[in-house]
Amino acid sequence: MNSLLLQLPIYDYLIILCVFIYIAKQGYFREITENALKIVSKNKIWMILFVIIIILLVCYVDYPVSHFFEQNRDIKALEVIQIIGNTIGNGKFLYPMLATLTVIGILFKSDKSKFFQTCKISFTSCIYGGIFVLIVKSIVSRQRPFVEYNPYHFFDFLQAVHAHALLGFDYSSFPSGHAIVASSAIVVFAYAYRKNLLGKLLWLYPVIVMIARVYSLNHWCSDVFTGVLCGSVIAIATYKANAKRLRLERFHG
Amino acid sequence: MDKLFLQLPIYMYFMALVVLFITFKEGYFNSLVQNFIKQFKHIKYVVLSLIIIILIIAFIDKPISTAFALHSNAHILKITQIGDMMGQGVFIYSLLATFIIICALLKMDGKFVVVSKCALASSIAAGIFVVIVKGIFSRERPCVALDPHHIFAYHLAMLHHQFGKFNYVSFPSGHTITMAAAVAPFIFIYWKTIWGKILILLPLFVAFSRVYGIYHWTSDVFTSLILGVMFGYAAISSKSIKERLAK
Repeated sequence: MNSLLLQLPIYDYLIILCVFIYIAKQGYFREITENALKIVSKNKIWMILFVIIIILLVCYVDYPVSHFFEQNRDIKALEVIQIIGNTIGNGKFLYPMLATLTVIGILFKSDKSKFFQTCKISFTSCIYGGIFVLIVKSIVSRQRPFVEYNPYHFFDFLQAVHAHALLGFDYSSFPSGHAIVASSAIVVFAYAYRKNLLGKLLWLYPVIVMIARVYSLNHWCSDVFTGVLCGSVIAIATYKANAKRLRLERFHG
Repeated sequence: MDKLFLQLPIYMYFMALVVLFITFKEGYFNSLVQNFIKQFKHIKYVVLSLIIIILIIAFIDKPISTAFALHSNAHILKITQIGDMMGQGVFIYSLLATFIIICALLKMDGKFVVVSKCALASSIAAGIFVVIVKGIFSRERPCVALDPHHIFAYHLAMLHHQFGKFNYVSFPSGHTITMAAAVAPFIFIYWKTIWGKILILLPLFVAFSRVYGIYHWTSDVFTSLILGVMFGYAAISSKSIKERLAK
């Protein structure tokens, strides 16, 4: 499955780069940060509640859950979810998939339709989420559960330097990149098609990624929860920044 | 290098398929086969080519392949691996499809895009043609036995359970015909520029690589070069394409 979905040749990188240029040129990246900040400031109480939940997760849930999964490695249903979740949450799966859909829309000259517009918004949100998570991961520098079962290793620069892994995989646990990229891409679709059953079912997508990342001991519970939260805020901010394009389509349609 | 150029994920197949569909819809395949067949009306050239191919089979194939089999240089072999890679359909089709997609994304719509679509149509047609012809001729490859006269070797192929498989599909060279058919439209249209002349080197390099690696006889690659150029010319010689190029 990996060679079919995750091994990208040079052509795909070139196409993704050109889709990025095409989307940036059309102004899809405008006003996302402002909208995200607006959402955060408008929902201050919710944000404080989420921060409290994250702290509680770090203190009381992270260690027991990861320890439980470490002790029980033969849960077959979770093995399947792990394989699927780790693949569908990977940027190497989501970026080319969204770029491919965007290209297909452009080649068929139907990129103004609701679905292909949503694809472009989703791609924008996904890119934004990817950049955001890279910055936050390198600042927080949290140790992953498979390195040591201690969820309190935040800002662990000294140990990372000692292990020659500063900004490396082992010390970039918080927040989960898979969860943030998956939710920033999929929540756009879930939000755009919120009146459909399919739109509601799409919320399962980030949940599968969350379970897979925690079960595979790549992340703590708090990492994936924060990832999905940040990804959702980015997705809704990107959607709102570009909602006029969808309304325009509906008007012309 | 293979990972970078030849291992395609499912997305690339989807995009290539859509590009192919669009190229087909825009009429780039129209009368390609008729134009290809029309070229056989130049009987003089056809007979001359056939005589040259027969002479190559009789006098050149064996000495050249034997020489390369006995005295191959490791450094040259490494270079010819690049030629082998460049002649693969996966490389050529993906490259042309990527180029067409990038042009659509960057809203470039010039002569170069039309020629690229012609090149894609011509190389795909050549690719389909070569698969059929290879099966009919069923020629043994030099890497199996250094006997260039094993053409229509169905009995040998059956005996070794290799009918229609790699070892018995030497004539003509698939790599060379695909590259020649892809490059020919560019050469015909941009012949007056330096790039048009430099492009000739590409199919020649692929042809040399296939012979040097003992995957093909000299007559295989020579035939492929001729057929590839014919396909390339056929792709740009229909009326509608000429009108598009004139714009």
